[in-house]
Amino acid sequence: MRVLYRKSSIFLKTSFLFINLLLLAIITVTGSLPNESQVNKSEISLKDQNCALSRIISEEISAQYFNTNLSRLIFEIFLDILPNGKDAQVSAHYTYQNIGNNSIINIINILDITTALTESRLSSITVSDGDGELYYEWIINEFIHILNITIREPLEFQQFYSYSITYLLEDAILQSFEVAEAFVFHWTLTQDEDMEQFTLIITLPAQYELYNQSALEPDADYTSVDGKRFEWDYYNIEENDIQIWIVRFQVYQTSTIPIPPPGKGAWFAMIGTFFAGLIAGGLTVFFIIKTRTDIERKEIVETLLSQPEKEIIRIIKNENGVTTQSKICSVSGFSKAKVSYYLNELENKGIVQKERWGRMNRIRITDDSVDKAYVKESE
Amino acid sequence: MAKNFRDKIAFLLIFCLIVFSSFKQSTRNVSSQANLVEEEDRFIIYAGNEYNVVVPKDIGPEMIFDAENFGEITLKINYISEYTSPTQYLNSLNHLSGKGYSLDKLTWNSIGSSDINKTCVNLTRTHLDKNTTLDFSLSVFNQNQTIRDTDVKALYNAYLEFQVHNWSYTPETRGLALNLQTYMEQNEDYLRLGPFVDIATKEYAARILLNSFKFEVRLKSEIVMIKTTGEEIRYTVFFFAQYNVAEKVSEPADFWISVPYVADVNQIIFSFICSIGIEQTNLGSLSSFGLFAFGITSIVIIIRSFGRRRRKYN
Repeated sequence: MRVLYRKSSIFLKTSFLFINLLLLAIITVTGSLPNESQVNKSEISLKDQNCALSRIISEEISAQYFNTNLSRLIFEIFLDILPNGKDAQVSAHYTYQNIGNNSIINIINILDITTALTESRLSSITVSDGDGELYYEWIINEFIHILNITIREPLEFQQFYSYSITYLLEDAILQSFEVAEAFVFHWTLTQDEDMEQFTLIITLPAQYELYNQSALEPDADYTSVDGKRFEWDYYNIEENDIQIWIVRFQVYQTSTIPIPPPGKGAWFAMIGTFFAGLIAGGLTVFFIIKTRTDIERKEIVETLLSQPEKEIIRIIKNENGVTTQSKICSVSGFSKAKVSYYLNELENKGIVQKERWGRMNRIRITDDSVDKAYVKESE
Repeated sequence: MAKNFRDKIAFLLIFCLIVFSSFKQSTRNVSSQANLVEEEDRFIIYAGNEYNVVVPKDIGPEMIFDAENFGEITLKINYISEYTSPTQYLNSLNHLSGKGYSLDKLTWNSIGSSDINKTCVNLTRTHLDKNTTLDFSLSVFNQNQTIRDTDVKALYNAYLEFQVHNWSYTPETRGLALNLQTYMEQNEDYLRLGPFVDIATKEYAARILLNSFKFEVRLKSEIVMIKTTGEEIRYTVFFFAQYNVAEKVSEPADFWISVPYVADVNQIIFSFICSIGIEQTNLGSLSSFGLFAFGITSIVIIIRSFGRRRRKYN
């Protein structure tokens, strides 16, 4: 229902603008204006707004020709969405040429403020050329804002003249309630004159970005690298041509901020981190393999040694890896022959070494892995 | 005995002087004269010992009052607009229509001056619709003045004037409205009060409060208009705000002053008085009240002790 209302509102505004333009053209051609006394000012209403416009025109600009003998060559509009997400600052640049024989001192422009919102308002108009501010008259009738601009010097035949009109479009942007912090700028422009070239440039402020890939209607002819400036170019525009632009945008999302490329220091840090990882990983692997090998060796020793051999090794271990054959006999309680036999077995297996030490035999463990395995067991 | 009595009287007199001087300090602390400093993008008026006012150039009537014990308070004349209304005065923002100017969107010419009587900054905007001109001035006077029936205290008040020349009304509009905003940007603990009608002076006022300090902007309920014949007339204005003006909240005071259309008027003058000071209670500030109470107690004790001694000697 709301959309329907807005559409009908836009249609009404557009129709109204068209009728008014038609009326202006008739007035220009015929020069016949309604008698002011015939119009009762107190009875002006929406029903007879055309009459109201006639009255205003008759009062304000009846002496002027509606840009007869003027050819609009270039029309550029720079429209900046303001950071408040509600208003837009418009700067319209016009270039005219006098194509008639009479000199011209006044130029009339109609400012169209047809947005998606009925509460949109045009304010803060200023007019200037390259030399400074210009005198102007601002005539308002409902949705139509007419500017009668007095230029600095008479414009003679085939002379060119450029000037700018700046104004504020208040409450021109619709905030979407369906998606949080999404905005829609919907602008309909009915061209008030024929012209050779028309350009519209819309700029978003820093804190906004386009809502998605299809947020512009129609697609812009040019989009800036930062994605905040959009340009549409048109050629050979005719009076009453209607163009509609829609820009959907949202508050800049932090997730979409491009990550800056790493600097030189960052590269060094990354390489250093990589090598530190390599070293840490290598040490870990070495430790795991070593631990696993020790366990495997212990298991092998467990299976390969007999119980007396284990007991003899345990005794040597208790003597810090070196002892005498006679001490093994006394500690283990084995006979001398039995100890001698098993020591020979261990020597043959390469686990211990027997050597003469005076009149005694000194026994030393030679296999380190066996040594460690049994240290743990003894604990 | 007599010497003792004289000492006590002298002590009492000195004590009373201290107490009353403390009352005096809580209301006024005035230096000799204001000074103007012009920088690249702003003017600064040093108003004695009371406060400084910073007026940025080229962004319209916006000023920042900076007081040592208070902080920075911004006051902006933000917008001027025509309105339509079923009544004489603006009573809804939906009634703003016709021509309007957001003052910070216009470029302004600014000039500052200082002489023996006053220090002021003037902003002017010409070349608006049908040669409408807007003039704004902020003045700090070195001597007490009365301007358009408004008393301006030297160095204590800042006198603001916003003049509209040659406004050309759109048919069907009822009058002209001016939007003012005042707030503290760097402090969230402030409170706004108003706009409200000051019953005592029949003036309109809005306040920014922080602890015991207040910033106040006031205007007369009647403003001056000058007709094309040169005749000066007074016309009643009224204020409108979109919030509960009696509630103290930490939000900007944001209100409209509206004045109906009067035929053949080519100059409308809005005058405002700004001041920064202590928020007055019945007996001044709490410290002053404490001193006062201490004084009374001391007097009672001294008199009683004096009476006892007399009885003892008798």
